[in-house]
Amino acid sequence: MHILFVVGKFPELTFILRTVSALAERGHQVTVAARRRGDWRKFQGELPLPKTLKVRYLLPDTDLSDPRRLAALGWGLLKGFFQRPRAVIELWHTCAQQKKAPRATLRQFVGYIPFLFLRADVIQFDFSMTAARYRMLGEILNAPTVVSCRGSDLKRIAHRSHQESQGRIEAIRSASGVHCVSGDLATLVRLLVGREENVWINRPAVPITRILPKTEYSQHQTPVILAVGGLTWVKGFDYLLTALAKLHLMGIDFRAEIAGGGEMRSVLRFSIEDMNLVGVVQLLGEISSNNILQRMRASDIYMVSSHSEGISNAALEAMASGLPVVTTDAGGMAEAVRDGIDGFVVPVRDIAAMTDRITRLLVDPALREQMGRSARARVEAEFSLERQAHVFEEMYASVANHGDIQKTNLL
Amino acid sequence: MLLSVQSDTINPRLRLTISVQRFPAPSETFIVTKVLGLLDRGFDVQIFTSAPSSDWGCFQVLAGREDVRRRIHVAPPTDSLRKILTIGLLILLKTLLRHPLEFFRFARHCWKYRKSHPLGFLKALYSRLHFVGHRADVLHIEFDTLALGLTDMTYYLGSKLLLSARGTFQKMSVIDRYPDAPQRIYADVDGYHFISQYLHRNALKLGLNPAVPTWLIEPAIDLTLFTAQQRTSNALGAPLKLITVARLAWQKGYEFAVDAVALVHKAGVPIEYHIIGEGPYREPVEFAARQWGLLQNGIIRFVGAVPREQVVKHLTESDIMIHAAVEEGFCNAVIEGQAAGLPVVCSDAGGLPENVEDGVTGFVVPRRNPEAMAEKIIQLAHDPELRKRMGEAGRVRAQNRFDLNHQIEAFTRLYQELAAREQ
Repeated sequence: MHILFVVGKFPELTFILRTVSALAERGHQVTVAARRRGDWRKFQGELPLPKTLKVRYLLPDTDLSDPRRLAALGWGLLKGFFQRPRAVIELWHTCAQQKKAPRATLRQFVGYIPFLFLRADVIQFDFSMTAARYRMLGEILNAPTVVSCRGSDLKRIAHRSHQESQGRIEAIRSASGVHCVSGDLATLVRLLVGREENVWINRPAVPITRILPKTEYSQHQTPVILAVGGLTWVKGFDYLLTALAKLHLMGIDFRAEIAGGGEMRSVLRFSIEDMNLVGVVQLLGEISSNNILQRMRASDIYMVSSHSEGISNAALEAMASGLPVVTTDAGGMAEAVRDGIDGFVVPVRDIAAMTDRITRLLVDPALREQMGRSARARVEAEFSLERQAHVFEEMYASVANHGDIQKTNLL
Repeated sequence: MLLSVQSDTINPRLRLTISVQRFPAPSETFIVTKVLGLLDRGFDVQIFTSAPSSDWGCFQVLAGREDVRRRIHVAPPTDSLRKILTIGLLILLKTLLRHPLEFFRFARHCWKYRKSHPLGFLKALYSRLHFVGHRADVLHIEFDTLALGLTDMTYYLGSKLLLSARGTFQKMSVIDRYPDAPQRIYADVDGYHFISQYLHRNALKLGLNPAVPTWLIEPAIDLTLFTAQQRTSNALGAPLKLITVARLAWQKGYEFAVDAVALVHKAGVPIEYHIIGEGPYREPVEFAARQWGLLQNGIIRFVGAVPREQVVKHLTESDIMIHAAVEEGFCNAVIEGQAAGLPVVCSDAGGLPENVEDGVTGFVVPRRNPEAMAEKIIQLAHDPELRKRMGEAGRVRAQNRFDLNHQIEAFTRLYQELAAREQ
């Protein structure tokens, strides 16, 4: 099967790289069409890529006055006219029918040209935002489309401009299939878009074979609490720090580390100083994924304090590393962590509950070990890449056979 | 330096140089009032601003004051290369022709900057052209954030350097970006004015020499806005109105305020919460309100930024002011809340415990603690008598302590004392 993955930046998000690799390894022809180039050096651990995985970068989305873009455009047009003259003309007609301003039409036309040389049995968009940008792609390539809903794009939709949120909702409504990373998001899709048919819940996955679980649950050293995530308000680190300050005041012995970079760094530094947590809480900055796995094995408790979340991949990795997880009930987190079994689930923004559950784990190494082992077992059973790829295959087969795609004479 | 000693202790011919971002600025009424007061007392005040102001219309007191306009000196434009090459060059020529000797003296003063940056000399010369030809006894930089790149002007002006700490400079983000900023500006300072003891303590922690003379002058507000207005009492049984007036910024701790309001609502107390202000942190606060379900049913309302008169109106229509800041210099809005006769429930961040008298004009609770804040709000909600008593006490406190007219006296003394000090 030819699967076309349309993404914003590649490689950027580890889970997307892993998903496409897993699908390619199962024998599918996977093409990743990315708008921007990411930094491959950060993803050495994920290489080499399977032979059946190809990456194509689309034309850079800058002004037409950029000479490099003009050259690429000229080359693309030339190639298009020689290889598929009719398709190029049809594309122009399709774009012109939208009745937009001439500049917007031209931009749209240029944006779609690279796709004319790609084959697809199914098109998968990484986010609703990308799907909204390439709304006509399914029609142009005459292939069914699938949109992924991963949390952040839909949960904060109320804060976006009307035009942008409408574009996303329309993209989800018109797609052949919708992929949600949690049951919680499927509910949200039903509420926001009013759509129920062909909505597939396919939870995220981690490469279990590559994540070694913790073996030593030491009882002698100061326990370490780890949290990973971009330093933005969504992750609720301010609340986490407040809870940690309470623990510190209670005289409980622990250390905490927060890995990630972002706009709130100086704010968090202020909070750490303000609450006398210097030397107790450390901001690690942005560190590589291999490094994070090492840190996880060396830690004792994993913490998710998010106000909003799909299902945190880092939390799944922590579970696979054999850590008990204390998480808020944001988004689909309660679908990953079973309260009282793999860790604890607390209400969002509930600092008191957070403090209480962390304390329980801090004072009880045996409980940490028991929950940690159970977390590993859960990820092995429910969140493997194989299972995820299998569900994707089922979904693609289903939407490909649906046959409700409008046939055009483009191909 | 020669001090002309008058018959009384006041030296009215003191040459005072005040440096601000803009003059007049609507959010800095106290500076306008102070300048007018100082001029009335015979000070020679010159005002240096980084950008021209477009808000003359906002100030009735400045109508027809051409003498004040003449005292304002605006820095040459730096926002676009085109402006620098046209307007900037003209200003340069004008300065050169008007004060040729002074110009070269100033150029020599700026010459040392050639080492710090390839264009350092030109930058230092150009950006401070408006100072050429002036002399002063005191250079007062009203916000220490603006002091970077200005502190050495004292050598040219022959003045003492006075900085005001109003809470903007010590914020983590500023110091994060320029880690050596405290050392650089604390090195040259001759006197420091703090608006709260908290900022003073913090400055000492950041490396201010304890030998530097300091003055504590708390902020003040224009009380005339509040005396005319009478509090409108709500109809019996109407929901209690909570209000916060502050920019929507992380420092203001709005998420914790929203949590507290949610707890009060959960406890079954009928309330409304109005947020007056706009800012970069709106999304997280709105998200929190929506997550608690309080945005949808109108219990929390984002009013946005409103003009000053409207703020007073909103205050007089409210019952309790809450302020959950996690970082705060002093907070003028909390003074205004007290002046409007509102009991204030605020956090203990920064200078707030100095602003609100705990148990008298309101309650001071631990910061980042929604439960504690909710508890005090509920206590006030159930006790109209207490609300009234605390509101009255707040009004009295504002009149006795935060009156703009008293502040001018304090500053007059400060400038006299600083100028009279031996170098």
